[in-house]
Amino acid sequence: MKSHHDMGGQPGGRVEPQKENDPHDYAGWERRIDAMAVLLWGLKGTKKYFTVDEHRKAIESLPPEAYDSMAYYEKWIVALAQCTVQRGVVTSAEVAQKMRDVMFMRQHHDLGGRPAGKVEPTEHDYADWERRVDALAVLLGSQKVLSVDERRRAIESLPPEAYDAMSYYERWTMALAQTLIQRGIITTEELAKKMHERG
Amino acid sequence: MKDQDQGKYRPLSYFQLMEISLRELLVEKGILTNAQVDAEVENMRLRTPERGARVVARAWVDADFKKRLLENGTKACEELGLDVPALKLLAVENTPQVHNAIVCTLCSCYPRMLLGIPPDWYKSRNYRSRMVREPRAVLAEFGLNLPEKVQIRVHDSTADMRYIVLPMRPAGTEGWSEERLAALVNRDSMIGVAVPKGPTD
Amino acid sequence: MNEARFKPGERVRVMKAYPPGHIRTPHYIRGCVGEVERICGAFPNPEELAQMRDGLPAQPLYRVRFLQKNIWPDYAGSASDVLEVEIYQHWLEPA
Repeated sequence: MKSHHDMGGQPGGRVEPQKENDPHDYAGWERRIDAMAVLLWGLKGTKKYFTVDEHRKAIESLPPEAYDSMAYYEKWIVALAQCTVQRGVVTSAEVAQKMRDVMFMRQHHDLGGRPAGKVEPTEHDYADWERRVDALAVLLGSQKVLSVDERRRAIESLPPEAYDAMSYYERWTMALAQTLIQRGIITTEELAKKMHERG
Repeated sequence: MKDQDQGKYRPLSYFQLMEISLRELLVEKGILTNAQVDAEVENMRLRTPERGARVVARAWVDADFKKRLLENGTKACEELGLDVPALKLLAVENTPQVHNAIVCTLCSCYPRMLLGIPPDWYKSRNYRSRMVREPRAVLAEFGLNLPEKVQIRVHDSTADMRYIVLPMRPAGTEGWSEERLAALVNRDSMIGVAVPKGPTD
Repeated sequence: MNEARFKPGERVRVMKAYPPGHIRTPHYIRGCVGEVERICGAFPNPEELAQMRDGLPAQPLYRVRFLQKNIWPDYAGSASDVLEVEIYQHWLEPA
């Protein structure tokens, strides 16, 4: 029985050549898929996770309608997903979770269920400045100068790299500043001046 | 001359500078006073897990108090002169069949009025990420291995409630005073990643 | 305050919505089905408080209990393990 991908000798329509000066400019995502495949096949001195043949077989196993309607690199990425799951590099659940996160824009601080490492039971004796930041936040909240949720939102709005690189009270400090500025209680100019004076 | 002379001066970090600047601006604008900030810092130093331990010890010796605590945590704490303002306290009880643990996956919500400031690990990426998904593995990392027949209830503190775990009273403590019992109740047992010390620990 | 629509014991589904802003419904629980464990009371909406608005009328807040195995396809603990999450009424629909 002939497999669907095995096209030699089948009837077909006209070949549509691309215009000479207008080749398909491969998009970033397509180039990345190509690069990932090459690396995972172990062709660049990297570890081989699965073979080119397994990759081909995964593509060939696509149902005919899918095979025909999917673009070239769409077939590749499905095959890569298939092979990595088959080889236990990732689990289906992990891929599903990750796709859900990416598709539905999980916010960076929303950590529940994300893969992570061992919990190191570290503690540190909080520095005076950290305690003062905490006190400031509590006082401003209890005096209704700003709400806890405004502060939280400011923390959540930090760029991911900043969120990860900053310590807990550094984030609080930043969030307090942002919130106070947003509320018009202080201005950016005032804060800049004061930090310049005291720095 | 500098050999033995270990000064403590360190240049301020950007964020320390920001803290000082914010505070001075707020004081200049009459929104806060330095005395208020100092007083609040002091208040927070006084809030240690011993407060939570008192509540647990009372619940261990007084069955009616325990009932009231489980029904309305905030009110029960007020009976002991501990206020848990605005936020609602929920005490969740450990039994031989059920073990409770607390996490705040979104930030670091914690029953500060009873336990003080949360430890670093409670606020860490790893704890917040994994505690809801693989609580048994995380508890095992803390040295707590629970049999499968014990139901684990993880509470994700996402909104206005705050939680404290009411651990089981250790065996061999019959007739102990509240004070003696309270000394067995460590902070981690009220978060749910540990059990209280035993009488011989 | 807005009226409480759900009762303890009722099965509810968390909406599968992914809006921007300050949201207190964790990503991992959206779309999941659980049981109302209790009504916690009504509180100003934190999504609105975060935007410097007053968050009124107060929204009913529920604790909803979920079986872990219904949240995580690869959950490795006991089949009876649960996760209890506080969720605002506007994120819940009958299941």
